[in-house]
Order: sequence, then C-alpha cells, then structure tokens
Amino acid sequence: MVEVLTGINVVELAGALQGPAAAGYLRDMGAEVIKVEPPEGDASRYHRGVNNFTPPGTLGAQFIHANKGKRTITVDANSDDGRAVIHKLVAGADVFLTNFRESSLARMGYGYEELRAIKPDLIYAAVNGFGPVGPDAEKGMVDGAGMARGGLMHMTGPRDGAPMLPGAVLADMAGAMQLALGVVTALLGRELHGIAQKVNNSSYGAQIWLQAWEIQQAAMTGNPLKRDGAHHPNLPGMYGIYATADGEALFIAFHMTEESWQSFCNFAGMPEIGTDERWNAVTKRMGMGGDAEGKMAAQIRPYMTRAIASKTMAEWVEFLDSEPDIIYNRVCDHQDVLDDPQALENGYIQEVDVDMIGSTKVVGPTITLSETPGSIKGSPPQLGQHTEEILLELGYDWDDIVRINDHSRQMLRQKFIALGMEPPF
Amino acid sequence: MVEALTGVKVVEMAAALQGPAAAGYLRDMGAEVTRVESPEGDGARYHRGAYNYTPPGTMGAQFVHSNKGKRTISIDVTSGQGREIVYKLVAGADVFLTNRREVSLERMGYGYDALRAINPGIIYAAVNGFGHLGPEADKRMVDGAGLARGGLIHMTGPRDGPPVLPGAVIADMAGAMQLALGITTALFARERHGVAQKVNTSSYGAQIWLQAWEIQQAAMTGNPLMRDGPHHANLPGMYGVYATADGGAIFLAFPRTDESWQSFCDFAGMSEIGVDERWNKITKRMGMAFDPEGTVASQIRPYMERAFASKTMAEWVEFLDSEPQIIYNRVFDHQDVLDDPQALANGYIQEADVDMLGPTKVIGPTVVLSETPGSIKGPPPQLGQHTEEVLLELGYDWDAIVEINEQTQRALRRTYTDLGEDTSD
Repeated sequence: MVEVLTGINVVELAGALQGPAAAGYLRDMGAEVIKVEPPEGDASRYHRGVNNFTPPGTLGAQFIHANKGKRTITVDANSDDGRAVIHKLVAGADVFLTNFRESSLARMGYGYEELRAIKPDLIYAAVNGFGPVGPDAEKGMVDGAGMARGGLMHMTGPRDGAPMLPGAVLADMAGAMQLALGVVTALLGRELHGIAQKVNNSSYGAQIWLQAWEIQQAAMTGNPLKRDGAHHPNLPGMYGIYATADGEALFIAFHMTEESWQSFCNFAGMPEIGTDERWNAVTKRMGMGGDAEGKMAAQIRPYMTRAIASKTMAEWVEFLDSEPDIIYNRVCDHQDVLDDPQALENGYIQEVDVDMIGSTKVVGPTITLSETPGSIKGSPPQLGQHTEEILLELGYDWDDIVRINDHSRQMLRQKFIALGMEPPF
Repeated sequence: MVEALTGVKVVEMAAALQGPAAAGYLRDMGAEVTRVESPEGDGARYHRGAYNYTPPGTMGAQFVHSNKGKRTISIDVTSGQGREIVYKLVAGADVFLTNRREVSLERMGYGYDALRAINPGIIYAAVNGFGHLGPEADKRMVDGAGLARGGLIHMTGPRDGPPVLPGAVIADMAGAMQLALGITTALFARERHGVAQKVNTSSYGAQIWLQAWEIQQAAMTGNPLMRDGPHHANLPGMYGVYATADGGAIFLAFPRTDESWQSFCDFAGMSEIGVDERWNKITKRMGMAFDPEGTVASQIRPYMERAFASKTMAEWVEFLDSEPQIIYNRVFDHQDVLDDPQALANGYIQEADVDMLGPTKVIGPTVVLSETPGSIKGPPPQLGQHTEEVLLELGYDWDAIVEINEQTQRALRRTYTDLGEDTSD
C-alpha cells in the first residue's frame, strides 16, 4: 500500500536520539531510510539504562524506538571510501538528515554546499543543541542541557526548593519532532514551489516552542512565573496533583459546570464549599477571575487536599468517571500506558519483533492518517546489517566491499583497545 | 516572497491551545489561516494568568502566541447562517483544523463526511485528548490530564515524595506540534499521491512519543523506571541538577573526556576523584557500564553536590565555559531565555506589535528554512476583526453582513446573561 512518504529516500548520518527519532517518524510514514553508522555503531545501540537484565548485546531502548525498520550501513565516514559511499547515497536521496555539528560535517565533506553540489534538490536537515547561528551554535548538547537552557527545569519542582528534572528526555524528543516537522515542511515546499533548501532546528528552539505560553506570559507582564510544585505556575487555582487516602496521585484540573462542582463537594463531604462565592464559577476555580496574584483561587487548595485525601483512588475513580464535566486523570506510570486500552486501540502502543527479545511493545505512529496510515516496518537493524546489500546497490563489487569492511573492522578493533576492552576479533 | 506553505488555505475552528498553536505554525510558514471564533471569542483571548497587570482587555499570553497574523471572524457556528458561512470557507480551503470533539462537530454539521462532501480535497485535521478511537475518544482533556495519563507526572519529582507537575503545558504544545506535523504530512501526500484524508492526533499520543525512550525501557525490561528528583530516571550517574555556593542551579551532564573530568575534579578541589576507577570512563560517569542498578555510578553524586556547593555560579560558569567537553547549562529562567543572545540570533525570540501592549517579545519560528524561512505575519487579531472582510470575500452583501453581525451580538448577549453578567452594552 502506498504510504505518504513512499518513494522518499532519506540518508541519516546521526547518532543517539534527536536525528534518529526524526528519521524514525519518516520511516513509519513510508520513507526509505538508510542509516549510516560508524564501525562501533550508534552510541545508543547498546545503551542499557537502568534495571535492564536482558542478555548482553540486546539493543537499547532508545535505539529500538528510533530505528525500527531502517536499513543500516557501517562505514568510516572519515575515510575516502566512506565519503564516496555517502556521496553516492546522497546522489539518490531526497533528504540528508543529521544531528552532527555542521562545522564537523563541513570538515568531513558533508556540508550543505558540498552535498547540494552532488544533489541540487536535496533537503539538508540539521538539528543541533542551540540553533545554527549565535555564540553557542557549535556547543555540545545533551537533553538536560536543552531543558536547563529553555527554562523548563527552572519551572519544575517545589516553590521553596531546588528545581527538578522533568522525567523524560523532552529536549531531544521535542527537537526530533520539530526536525520531522521541518523536513516534511521542506518536502512540501519542494513539491509546491520547486524549492530545495536547508532545514535547521534545535532542541533549544523546541523547548521554547513547548513553553510558548509561559515564556509569552513572562515577556508580556515582565513578571517571571514561579515553579509551583504540584501546580502549574500560571494556574493559581485548584489545578494540580493531589494524594488519595491510599497514597496514590490524582491530577484534577477543574469542574467545568456548577453542578459537577457541587456534586464533587458533596461526595467529598464538604457541600458548603460548593456554594462558596470564592469558587462558584469555573473562572474562579481556575484562578482566571480579577485576582492577579491568584490569592483567592489558591485558597481552595487545602480544601482540595483534604477532600482527595479522604477517599481511596478506587473511590475517586469510580466517582470521577461518572462526572464527565470534571477533568481529571489518575497519574499513570509507564506500565499503565503500556497496558492502556486507549493507547492500544489508537495504535500508540504496538508489538514488534526485536532481535534477542522477541515480541516487544513499542511506540507506534502517534499521528493517524485515515487513508495512508503509517506503520512500523520491522525490527531495528543489527549493526552493519545492510552494508553489503547497500554497497552492491551502489555498484560496488565484492573486492571493494571486502576492503571497506576490513577497514571498519580495524577501526572497531582500535576503538575497543582505546577503551581498554578486549577486542572481539 | 514565497514561503513553504504559500497558497495553502486553512480554516481553523479551534480554541485555547492545541489547535490554534498548530495553525500558528502553518501561518508562520506562509499558509492563510482564517479562524472561526464564537461570538464571545476564544476562551484563551482574555485568560490573563498570574502576575498580569496589563490593562483589562489585553489579550492573554496563550492567545498572543498562537494567533499571530491570523484573520478571524466571529459568528455563531450553531446557527444555520453560521453553518453556511463555515461551509463556504471550507469549500475554498485546503485544511480544516479543529480541537473540538468530533462528536460535537458531527452534531453541529462539521463532521468529516459533511465537510468532505463539500470539498473532496479537504485535509480534515482533528486533535483531541486521548486519540480518536478507544473508550475515551470523547473524553475532555486539559493539559495536566494529558501529562498525568502519559506518565510524565509520575516520572517528575523526588524519589521518596509525591510527583510534581512539569512546569509547562507540554501535553498541549507537543500535541500541537504533532498536529502541525500530521497536517504537513497529509498535504504532502495530497500533492504526491492525490490522496485527501483525515488526520488525527492527540496530546496523549504526543506524550507517549516524547517519552518513547523511557516507555520503551519499561516495555523491554519489565522494570518500571522511578522518578529521581534532579536526575533522570534512566541515567544513574552524575547527570543532574546541582546547587552552587550562592544558591544557583546548574545542570551538568558529564565530562566527555577523561582530561576534562580530571580538570573538573582539580577545579573542584577533589583531584583524587579524577582517577577513581569507579568513574574514570565516560560510560562509568553516565552509568552505562555493567552496573544495571547504577549503584556504583550514583556514588558520584555526593561528590558532585559538594563540588558544586564549593563555588559560586560565576566561578562555575567561567570554568565550565573554558571546557567544551563538559556538557552543562546554567538553569535558565524565562527572562534569561527572552534575553539570550542565542535565542535572539536564531530568531526564536522576536518582537511583534500587540494591540494595547506595543512591541512585545514573542516566539518566532523555531523551524528554520534557508530559502523559504517562516515569518511572523503580524499581531494577533482582535475579536471579529476580519468578519466583514471575509464575509465580503465569500460574496455576502452588506445587508447580509449586518444581519449576521446582529445575530452574533444576540448570541453574545445570551452568553453574558447565562453568566449572570451585565449586558448593558
């Protein structure tokens, strides 16, 4: 079946997360993605993470997510052979996608000017930490630095304590999403207007975009928002996380109607609060009334804390599920998500066979198209899995292939020795 | 100048954030966006938020961000007249974009089948809370509920205490980004393959995608990750947020080379730690060595805490800026972002004129295209600002326009009366 990006060829020269995850989206949507890896492989291939007791050599979680169904070739991108191979790949590509630094790429022979000379209608898509120009254009970045730079970390944690890390690599993944968005926008621009171009985005830019409301608020008012623990800094009312009698966590936004608010107060054993004039309209409960510091709105919080603490999670879920005008959700953990009928039915969580693990739950396409839906194309590849196949397609003969592979093995050997490890051959 | 989406026409029937912010991206990239607002206007128009002392009637930060440069009409979409106007807009549009619930849209006459009968080439793009299928397809959502459902709240906060809220409306904004990505993807498919279709995304899906690494880790290992305060749950080493002697907060990932690690330890007055075998390789400092529980890697944390507490922020920044192999960032607040030369140089922060405020810093395009860069098209519109202009373009005469506007006024009056407010105007 035709998919949206059927016929689009992508060459990915990228490592870890921002670049590969963006190319993963393109792959799910039907593009052919060839991943170019160094002899030792993408750094995320064998990044095992915490409490991971799978057999040694099992692919890491980050790698699995970002590289499902891609083809991969192992070459030394710094060698003449490697450069010739990559230039041949680019000659047949629509998109060159990278999260290497542009200064390194230019030095290695993969700068925009060089690749566009090979393929004039190429979309050259580069993502980095902090944007392509400016004093920190070349600065190295990992996820937490992006979240620290964009302000999200400052906004997360208790008001009277130190900031905390939002619990996921949001700078990388939002950057990846924006890179995919930039690539598709540029492909559309090429289709509509015949213009090929370079796409640049960064994890910093994506962080700013994700926080546009809060940053715009600071810009307009001149008054910085303050992190607020279980609450959103710009929503001074009840909106927040509360503990139930059995120690579970419940997020509650607000009650959209007066009836549901009274019903909540009755259930919580505080019917008199339902008619209290401080909170008897949704605008007041959200802290949107004429109360700039939100003092009045915030006075509801102790009542909410006591109310939610008075019953168990099961009691609350049963009640709240019967009140569609109360916006809430139990605080789910990742296992809840993996088992959630809602996630399964929408295809957000699917199963795929992964080498050495077998059938495993993975994240499926989260953008659903009715006529050309995306699909997972299979297991992430083993290191070098398609090297020969791709080199043959490019017109190399077996002598060339042996030479290129011997060089890769030598490099890999040296890498092991440099790390003080026993080389595998 | 031509932009990537020049010539693409979008009709937006959406409110607050997920829908409007997505359409805001399309507008920045050159699409024409006509938004259809209710007589009383988008709820975000006058949502003032905390510490906002701008004059009453000033547009809210969320509205300013999402609606820059759009045209807007204000009509009663539940009336026969309103429906006729929206149908005429749809007849000339490429994209219909909404974050209303599909059940309500169908009831009101704006379901996919109704609109595609009017315009067979329409891309119908709908974003909701939890996905368009499944038991909770019609469930209402606000940002925190998306964050709670996807697992991010559970992962944020101290290990031995209750979870805290990540400090931005990330479920809405990531959902908006995915909606924009879905729309550009579908527009590309229409150009390439001649297929028009429905696009569905959700904040839940976007949350799952943002956390793909962490969720994949839980899926593969069967062992849930645990929130870890200033650290990332899946990185047991030094990676985290630390307090300086003067109470500032610094995020530090890791020194990438052994030289920079030794240099760090020397500067911190703990030279002997630099050669300690527990952390003398980057894989060990990151907790990637053969230590599944991360027990050894995390033993570095007290040393790091003492090290950072021994010097001021200014001292640390001066030292760390001289060590490009050490990945770090000071924890910025929003004002730091607004003033950051890096954000300004990349156009992430720009200035735009906003009614009643004058020149104000706003978020510019964070996806940068070299030949068809996006641009901010102007201030967010006042309520109903383009009603007459758009109606004239659709072929209505002045008698019809007066009647339509009177209907809108009557609908507005009813809304005020329902809220118990003064209707003397």
